[in-house]
Amino acid sequence: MIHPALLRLIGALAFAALRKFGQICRKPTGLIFVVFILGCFGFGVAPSILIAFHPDQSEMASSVRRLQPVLPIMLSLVFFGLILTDSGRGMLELRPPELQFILAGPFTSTQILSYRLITVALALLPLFCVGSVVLRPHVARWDACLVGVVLTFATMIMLAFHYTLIKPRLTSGMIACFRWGIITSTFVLMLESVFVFRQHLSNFEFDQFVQAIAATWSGRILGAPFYPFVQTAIASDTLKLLQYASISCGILGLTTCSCYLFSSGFAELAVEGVARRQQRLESLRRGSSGMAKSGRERKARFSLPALPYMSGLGPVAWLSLTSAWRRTGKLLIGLTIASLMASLGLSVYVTVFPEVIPNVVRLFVSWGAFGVAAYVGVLVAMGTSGGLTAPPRTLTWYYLLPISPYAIAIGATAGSTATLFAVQCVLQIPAIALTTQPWFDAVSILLLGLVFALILSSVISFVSVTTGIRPMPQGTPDVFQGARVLVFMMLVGLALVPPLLFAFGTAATTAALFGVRQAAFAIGGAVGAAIWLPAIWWYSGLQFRQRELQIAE
Amino acid sequence: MIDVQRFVKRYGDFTAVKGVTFSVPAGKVAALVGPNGAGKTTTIRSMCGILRPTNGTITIAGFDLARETLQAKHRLAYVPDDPPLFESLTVFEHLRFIASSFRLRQWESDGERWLQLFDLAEKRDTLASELSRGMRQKVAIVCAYLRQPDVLLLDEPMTGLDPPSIRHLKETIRQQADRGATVLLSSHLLSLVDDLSDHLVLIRRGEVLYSGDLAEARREYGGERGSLEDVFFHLTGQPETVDQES
Repeated sequence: MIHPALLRLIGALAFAALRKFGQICRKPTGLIFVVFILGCFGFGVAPSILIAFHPDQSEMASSVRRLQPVLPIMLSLVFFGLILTDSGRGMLELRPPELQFILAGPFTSTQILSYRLITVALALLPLFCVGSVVLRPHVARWDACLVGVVLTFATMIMLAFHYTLIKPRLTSGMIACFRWGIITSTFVLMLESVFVFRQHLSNFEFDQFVQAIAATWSGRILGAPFYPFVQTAIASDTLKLLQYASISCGILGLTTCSCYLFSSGFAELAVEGVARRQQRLESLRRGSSGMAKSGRERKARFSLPALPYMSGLGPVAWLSLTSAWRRTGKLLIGLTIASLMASLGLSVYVTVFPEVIPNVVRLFVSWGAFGVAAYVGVLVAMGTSGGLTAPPRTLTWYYLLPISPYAIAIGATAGSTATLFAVQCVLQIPAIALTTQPWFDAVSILLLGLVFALILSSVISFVSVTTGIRPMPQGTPDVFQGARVLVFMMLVGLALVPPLLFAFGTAATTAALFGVRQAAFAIGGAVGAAIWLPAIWWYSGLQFRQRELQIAE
Repeated sequence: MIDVQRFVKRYGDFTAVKGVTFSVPAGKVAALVGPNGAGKTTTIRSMCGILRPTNGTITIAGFDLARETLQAKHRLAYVPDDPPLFESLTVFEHLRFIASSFRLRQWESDGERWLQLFDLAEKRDTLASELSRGMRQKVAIVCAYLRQPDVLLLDEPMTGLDPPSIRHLKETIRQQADRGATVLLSSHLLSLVDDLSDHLVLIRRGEVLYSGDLAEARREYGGERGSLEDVFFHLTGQPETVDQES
């Protein structure tokens, strides 16, 4: 089933990973990093452990337990997601060195498939153990939960693998039918759920509603495959655990055997996967986002008009805006149009039916929109790497420009600021249409949102240039990328504290001086936050000039 | 011209470049050669301001890089090994960005000519993310040429280029030197830079072994063939090492 050489390789790779971890721990910065990650992990798991040992744990965890009837359906939907996104293909991918040493080695497809399955299992097993600890307060027994979680996700992964392995044997029509079948069954489930919801609307009881969904025809059919797995995880006595675990093991075994039966094309699929991964790695090393090239050559005939020079700020801002435009421009235009249409619709709606939406909602809707836009803005800003958050190789361009580093620091934030401005406008304009506040007050909250966008993009640049960490993973992917993103988010949060505290202070002062109204609070806050901008840009520029680029060879 | 005086670059305890001194006059093509780990890329990156020297001075076209940074950068162009491009910009937009950053006027016709010469005219509106390694290299070279710099630093510029492009590159490097630019060319492909260079800077383990006229180096160290390769092996003493091992 598996070649002894491949087993030895797995052992050597596991040992190498431990050795790398040891090397990281030996450096002070690495040790701080590991302690931070362990701290985050501890804080994540601690509540579950505390609840598990709390005397009233059954009460505390009951809210999640109430979802148990629909868990099999939810697992089916997760599986549908894996199929629709072709996730099995990604999980089958081997790394480029494995092309040379394994795919080109004296191994059969079955042996290579076994190697891949074992490596996937080894990588995911710790995650499943942590998952079972997190779920502990919501189940009767931890051991049953661990067995249930392992069997559930192992089966799900094997099914996704299976789909990937048989896909080349299916015609495009059959694949389309399969995908449409998944979409249709999900749609039917949604329709039945809406119908059930309407039935329970007059006397709503969450437990009854959940059970009613589980009892629908589509719910029963979709939930059936994962029913034994959920029963394994929540089993309270050993007999029940053994009974459902045996059924689950049988399903997993059948799926695994079927995978091996269809494993003849695995090597070809793995080679394709290696090629895709190689392309992504090359793209990352070049300083790009790691997207594999599309089949069709992409061209762009429209360019943004050039900006005036303005001590070099213009060209840098133009570059940043063009990059942002190419990345998110079409999406934001679509969202802006949708936002304007929603605003128009809401204006008409509240004019015709003024009593439907409560006044208190309409009074504070702009602040709600500001909060949502700020949250979405943080996610969007963290997800895009432009300006000074670009990979070090790309930053080479900025280092070569005969432009002051301060102009570069300001201009480079233009792209992400424009994107965040658009997010604020998209979410706040419908709120302006809905609110009962005077226009001036609502627009001043939008102004506060725009200043927040500017502060956020500047702070992200500032943290990147000061620490050298990037919001998006850079370079050849490794196991610590997620942790680095967490550290980056924490640093951005810390860096935002002084401007936001100051903004609160100025907002309160302005409101005290000019009367407690929302406009005074918003404008005061915007001014208080904006005061920090020159200092942030100046220090970013200074750091940009002083910090050397660490370009990997 | 390029003037490097007692340039030292340290990374923590490790000294990558140990007090290098050399100069390349205007109108010359200098080959910066050396074995792997000699400090070539560190030297070039320090010369264009990406890295800061630990010690010493670097003068680019008469401007001290540390004190008159912007003036020096105005006169300098650098083409790195495997150049990064902005993936969401088209080829022509890269030229536009360079033109606006360096405040070039009437650059469009020059830009089109360079694109034509390097077979990039068809890729004018193609996004950089869609370009192959060689194409990216050519875009970076065109961006450098567009500015007509006084000093041109090329780090392994021929890697990834096809034979016609290598020929065009060699011809144009010579043209740049003929119009008075100083060209410093780092490459491992000695045979490719042999006929192009008229000046040699040979470094090993962060120290200059030879800096001066290439013809003189050929006469002195080139043996019967007088090739750059022979000069390289003579000065670095590598064949002797091989002999000793064998």
